[in-house]
Amino acid sequence: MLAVYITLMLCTMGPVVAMQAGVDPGILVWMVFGLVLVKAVLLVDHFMEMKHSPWGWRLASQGWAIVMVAVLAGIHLAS
Amino acid sequence: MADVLTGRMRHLPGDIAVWFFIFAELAVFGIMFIGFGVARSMDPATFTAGRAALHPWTGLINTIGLITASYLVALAVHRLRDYRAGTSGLLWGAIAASSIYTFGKIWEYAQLYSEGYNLGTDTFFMFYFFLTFFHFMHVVLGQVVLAVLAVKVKKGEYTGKDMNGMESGASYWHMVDLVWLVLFPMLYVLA
Repeated sequence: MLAVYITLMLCTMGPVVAMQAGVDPGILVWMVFGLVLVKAVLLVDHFMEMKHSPWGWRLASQGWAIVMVAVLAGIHLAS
Repeated sequence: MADVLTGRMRHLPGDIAVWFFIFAELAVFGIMFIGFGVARSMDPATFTAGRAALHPWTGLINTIGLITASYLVALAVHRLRDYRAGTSGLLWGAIAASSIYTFGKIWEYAQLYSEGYNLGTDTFFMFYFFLTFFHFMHVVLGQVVLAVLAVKVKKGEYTGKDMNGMESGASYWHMVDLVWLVLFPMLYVLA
Protein backbone atom coordinates (compact mmCIF):
# COMPACT_ATOMS: atom_id res chain seq x y z
CA MET A 1 0.00 0.00 0.00
CA LEU A 2 2.87 2.36 0.81
CA ALA A 3 4.46 1.63 -2.57
CA VAL A 4 1.20 2.58 -4.30
CA TYR A 5 1.04 5.81 -2.28
CA ILE A 6 4.63 6.73 -3.20
CA THR A 7 4.01 5.93 -6.89
CA LEU A 8 0.88 8.10 -6.89
CA MET A 9 2.87 10.95 -5.36
CA LEU A 10 5.64 10.67 -7.94
CA CYS A 11 3.15 10.47 -10.81
CA THR A 12 1.41 13.59 -9.48
CA MET A 13 4.57 15.64 -9.04
CA GLY A 14 6.09 14.57 -12.38
CA PRO A 15 4.02 16.73 -14.78
CA VAL A 16 4.17 19.84 -12.57
CA VAL A 17 7.94 19.57 -12.18
CA ALA A 18 8.28 18.90 -15.92
CA MET A 19 6.08 21.93 -16.72
CA GLN A 20 8.16 24.17 -14.43
CA ALA A 21 11.34 22.79 -16.03
CA GLY A 22 10.04 23.90 -19.42
CA VAL A 23 9.47 20.50 -21.01
CA ASP A 24 8.00 20.74 -24.52
CA PRO A 25 4.19 21.09 -24.19
CA GLY A 26 3.68 18.46 -26.91
CA ILE A 27 5.54 15.89 -24.82
CA LEU A 28 4.01 17.10 -21.56
CA VAL A 29 0.46 16.50 -22.78
CA TRP A 30 1.13 12.82 -23.54
CA MET A 31 3.07 12.41 -20.31
CA VAL A 32 0.05 13.73 -18.41
CA PHE A 33 -2.37 11.43 -20.24
CA GLY A 34 -0.17 8.41 -19.51
CA LEU A 35 0.33 9.25 -15.85
CA VAL A 36 -3.38 9.92 -15.29
CA LEU A 37 -4.10 6.40 -16.53
CA VAL A 38 -1.44 4.88 -14.25
CA LYS A 39 -2.73 6.81 -11.24
CA ALA A 40 -6.37 5.97 -11.91
CA VAL A 41 -5.68 2.23 -12.27
CA LEU A 42 -3.58 2.20 -9.08
CA LEU A 43 -6.21 4.10 -7.11
CA VAL A 44 -9.10 1.98 -8.33
CA ASP A 45 -7.32 -1.35 -7.87
CA HIS A 46 -5.52 -0.79 -4.58
CA PHE A 47 -7.20 2.01 -2.62
CA MET A 48 -10.76 1.31 -3.83
CA GLU A 49 -9.98 -2.43 -3.62
CA MET A 50 -11.62 -3.09 -6.98
CA LYS A 51 -8.85 -5.59 -7.70
CA HIS A 52 -10.91 -8.15 -5.79
CA SER A 53 -14.33 -7.06 -7.05
CA PRO A 54 -16.37 -8.77 -9.80
CA TRP A 55 -14.67 -8.09 -13.14
CA GLY A 56 -17.52 -6.02 -14.59
CA TRP A 57 -17.43 -3.55 -11.71
CA ARG A 58 -13.66 -3.38 -11.88
CA LEU A 59 -13.74 -2.77 -15.62
CA ALA A 60 -16.40 -0.07 -15.27
CA SER A 61 -14.51 1.81 -12.57
CA GLN A 62 -11.19 1.61 -14.38
CA GLY A 63 -12.94 2.34 -17.66
CA TRP A 64 -14.12 5.77 -16.54
CA ALA A 65 -10.57 7.16 -16.44
CA ILE A 66 -9.62 5.33 -19.63
CA VAL A 67 -12.63 6.76 -21.50
CA MET A 68 -11.95 10.24 -20.10
CA VAL A 69 -8.31 10.19 -21.18
CA ALA A 70 -9.21 8.72 -24.59
CA VAL A 71 -11.84 11.40 -25.25
CA LEU A 72 -9.63 14.28 -24.05
CA ALA A 73 -6.70 12.93 -26.07
CA GLY A 74 -8.96 12.60 -29.11
CA ILE A 75 -10.18 16.20 -28.75
CA HIS A 76 -6.57 17.30 -28.29
CA LEU A 77 -5.48 15.51 -31.46
CA ALA A 78 -8.40 16.85 -33.46
CA SER A 79 -7.81 20.47 -32.40
CA MET B 1 -12.91 -25.23 -9.66
CA ALA B 2 -10.35 -22.54 -9.07
CA ASP B 3 -12.44 -20.13 -11.18
CA VAL B 4 -15.56 -20.94 -9.18
CA LEU B 5 -13.74 -20.29 -5.93
CA THR B 6 -12.22 -17.09 -7.26
CA GLY B 7 -15.65 -15.98 -8.39
CA ARG B 8 -17.12 -16.61 -4.97
CA MET B 9 -14.33 -14.72 -3.23
CA ARG B 10 -14.72 -11.65 -5.42
CA HIS B 11 -16.43 -8.89 -3.49
CA LEU B 12 -17.67 -5.41 -4.35
CA PRO B 13 -16.50 -3.07 -1.54
CA GLY B 14 -19.49 -1.30 0.00
CA ASP B 15 -23.16 -1.16 -0.80
CA ILE B 16 -24.30 -1.61 -4.40
CA ALA B 17 -26.51 1.51 -4.09
CA VAL B 18 -23.42 3.58 -3.28
CA TRP B 19 -21.79 2.25 -6.43
CA PHE B 20 -24.72 3.35 -8.58
CA PHE B 21 -24.40 6.77 -6.96
CA ILE B 22 -20.62 6.77 -7.62
CA PHE B 23 -21.11 5.94 -11.30
CA ALA B 24 -23.79 8.61 -11.63
CA GLU B 25 -21.35 11.14 -10.16
CA LEU B 26 -18.56 9.96 -12.45
CA ALA B 27 -20.88 10.34 -15.45
CA VAL B 28 -21.74 13.92 -14.48
CA PHE B 29 -18.08 14.83 -14.02
CA GLY B 30 -17.25 13.04 -17.26
CA ILE B 31 -19.75 15.10 -19.26
CA MET B 32 -18.35 18.30 -17.79
CA PHE B 33 -14.77 17.22 -18.58
CA ILE B 34 -15.73 16.54 -22.19
CA GLY B 35 -17.38 19.98 -22.29
CA PHE B 36 -14.14 21.49 -21.03
CA GLY B 37 -12.12 19.64 -23.68
CA VAL B 38 -14.42 20.77 -26.50
CA ALA B 39 -14.45 24.40 -25.27
CA ARG B 40 -10.66 24.36 -25.01
CA SER B 41 -10.29 23.07 -28.56
CA MET B 42 -12.46 25.98 -29.79
CA ASP B 43 -10.46 28.68 -28.00
CA PRO B 44 -7.02 27.40 -26.91
CA ALA B 45 -5.52 30.89 -26.41
CA THR B 46 -8.05 31.81 -23.70
CA PHE B 47 -7.47 28.52 -21.90
CA THR B 48 -3.67 28.83 -22.03
CA ALA B 49 -3.87 32.38 -20.66
CA GLY B 50 -6.28 31.25 -17.93
CA ARG B 51 -4.07 28.36 -16.90
CA ALA B 52 -1.11 30.75 -16.60
CA ALA B 53 -3.04 32.69 -13.94
CA LEU B 54 -3.42 29.60 -11.73
CA HIS B 55 -0.96 28.53 -9.05
CA PRO B 56 0.31 25.06 -10.05
CA TRP B 57 2.10 24.52 -6.73
CA THR B 58 -1.15 25.11 -4.83
CA GLY B 59 -2.80 22.55 -7.09
CA LEU B 60 0.04 20.13 -6.44
CA ILE B 61 -0.15 20.59 -2.65
CA ASN B 62 -3.93 20.09 -2.81
CA THR B 63 -3.37 16.86 -4.74
CA ILE B 64 -0.84 15.61 -2.21
CA GLY B 65 -3.38 16.31 0.55
CA LEU B 66 -6.12 14.33 -1.23
CA ILE B 67 -3.88 11.36 -2.12
CA THR B 68 -2.58 11.22 1.46
CA ALA B 69 -6.17 11.24 2.71
CA SER B 70 -7.06 8.39 0.35
CA TYR B 71 -4.05 6.40 1.56
CA LEU B 72 -5.09 6.88 5.20
CA VAL B 73 -8.69 5.86 4.40
CA ALA B 74 -7.44 2.71 2.64
CA LEU B 75 -5.30 1.89 5.70
CA ALA B 76 -8.30 2.51 7.97
CA VAL B 77 -10.41 0.02 6.00
CA HIS B 78 -7.70 -2.64 6.34
CA ARG B 79 -7.29 -1.93 10.04
CA LEU B 80 -11.01 -2.23 10.78
CA ARG B 81 -11.26 -5.44 8.74
CA ASP B 82 -8.36 -6.94 10.71
CA TYR B 83 -9.97 -5.94 14.06
CA ARG B 84 -7.00 -3.73 14.87
CA ALA B 85 -7.14 -0.49 16.87
CA GLY B 86 -6.46 2.93 15.37
CA THR B 87 -9.11 3.06 12.62
CA SER B 88 -10.76 6.15 14.01
CA GLY B 89 -7.41 7.94 14.30
CA LEU B 90 -6.57 7.17 10.69
CA LEU B 91 -9.93 8.57 9.56
CA TRP B 92 -9.38 11.78 11.51
CA GLY B 93 -5.92 11.91 9.97
CA ALA B 94 -7.53 11.62 6.53
CA ILE B 95 -9.85 14.52 7.35
CA ALA B 96 -6.85 16.58 8.47
CA ALA B 97 -4.90 15.73 5.30
CA SER B 98 -7.86 16.56 3.07
CA SER B 99 -8.24 19.88 4.89
CA ILE B 100 -5.01 20.90 3.14
CA TYR B 101 -7.10 20.71 -0.03
CA THR B 102 -10.13 22.58 1.34
CA PHE B 103 -8.09 25.41 2.85
CA GLY B 104 -5.81 25.49 -0.21
CA LYS B 105 -8.80 25.79 -2.50
CA ILE B 106 -10.37 28.56 -0.42
CA TRP B 107 -7.03 30.41 -0.46
CA GLU B 108 -6.78 29.99 -4.23
CA TYR B 109 -10.35 31.23 -4.78
CA ALA B 110 -9.58 34.28 -2.61
CA GLN B 111 -6.35 34.97 -4.51
CA LEU B 112 -8.00 34.69 -7.92
CA TYR B 113 -10.97 36.78 -6.84
CA SER B 114 -8.66 39.52 -5.49
CA GLU B 115 -6.86 39.50 -8.86
CA GLY B 116 -10.18 40.11 -10.60
CA TYR B 117 -11.00 36.60 -11.84
CA ASN B 118 -14.50 35.22 -11.44
CA LEU B 119 -17.10 33.04 -13.20
CA GLY B 120 -17.75 35.73 -15.80
CA THR B 121 -14.14 36.47 -16.70
CA ASP B 122 -13.97 34.09 -19.67
CA THR B 123 -14.78 30.52 -20.72
CA PHE B 124 -11.74 29.06 -18.96
CA PHE B 125 -12.60 30.62 -15.60
CA MET B 126 -16.26 29.69 -15.98
CA PHE B 127 -15.15 26.05 -16.28
CA TYR B 128 -12.44 26.45 -13.63
CA PHE B 129 -14.73 27.85 -10.93
CA PHE B 130 -17.68 25.63 -11.82
CA LEU B 131 -15.71 22.36 -12.00
CA THR B 132 -13.50 22.99 -8.98
CA PHE B 133 -16.34 24.26 -6.79
CA PHE B 134 -18.53 21.30 -7.75
CA HIS B 135 -15.63 19.02 -6.80
CA PHE B 136 -14.93 21.04 -3.65
CA MET B 137 -18.50 20.40 -2.46
CA HIS B 138 -17.95 16.67 -2.97
CA VAL B 139 -14.76 16.83 -0.89
CA VAL B 140 -16.60 18.60 1.94
CA LEU B 141 -19.36 15.96 1.82
CA GLY B 142 -16.65 13.28 1.86
CA GLN B 143 -15.11 14.85 4.96
CA VAL B 144 -18.50 14.74 6.68
CA VAL B 145 -18.83 11.05 5.70
CA LEU B 146 -15.35 10.29 7.08
CA ALA B 147 -16.17 12.11 10.33
CA VAL B 148 -19.37 10.07 10.73
CA LEU B 149 -17.39 6.87 10.08
CA ALA B 150 -14.73 7.86 12.62
CA VAL B 151 -17.35 8.54 15.31
CA LYS B 152 -19.22 5.29 14.60
CA VAL B 153 -16.00 3.25 14.69
CA LYS B 154 -15.00 4.89 17.96
CA LYS B 155 -18.41 4.05 19.47
CA GLY B 156 -18.04 0.45 18.31
CA GLU B 157 -21.01 0.65 15.94
CA TYR B 158 -18.78 -0.30 13.00
CA THR B 159 -16.54 -3.31 13.45
CA GLY B 160 -14.65 -5.70 11.20
CA LYS B 161 -17.66 -8.03 11.30
CA ASP B 162 -19.76 -5.83 9.02
CA MET B 163 -17.69 -3.71 6.63
CA ASN B 164 -20.54 -2.43 4.47
CA GLY B 165 -20.80 1.07 5.95
CA MET B 166 -17.06 1.60 6.18
CA GLU B 167 -16.40 0.34 2.64
CA SER B 168 -19.25 2.45 1.22
CA GLY B 169 -17.90 5.63 2.79
CA ALA B 170 -14.35 4.80 1.71
CA SER B 171 -15.44 4.09 -1.87
CA TYR B 172 -17.18 7.47 -2.07
CA TRP B 173 -14.03 9.15 -0.77
CA HIS B 174 -11.82 7.40 -3.34
CA MET B 175 -14.22 8.45 -6.11
CA VAL B 176 -13.70 12.09 -5.10
CA ASP B 177 -9.94 11.51 -5.30
CA LEU B 178 -10.25 9.74 -8.67
CA VAL B 179 -12.09 12.73 -10.15
CA TRP B 180 -9.39 15.10 -8.89
CA LEU B 181 -6.66 12.95 -10.49
CA VAL B 182 -8.16 13.84 -13.89
CA LEU B 183 -9.31 17.37 -13.01
CA PHE B 184 -5.99 18.59 -11.62
CA PRO B 185 -3.78 18.01 -14.70
CA MET B 186 -6.64 19.01 -17.00
CA LEU B 187 -6.85 22.49 -15.45
CA TYR B 188 -3.32 23.14 -14.22
CA VAL B 189 -1.18 21.46 -16.88
CA LEU B 190 -3.13 20.71 -20.07
CA ALA B 191 -5.23 23.86 -20.47
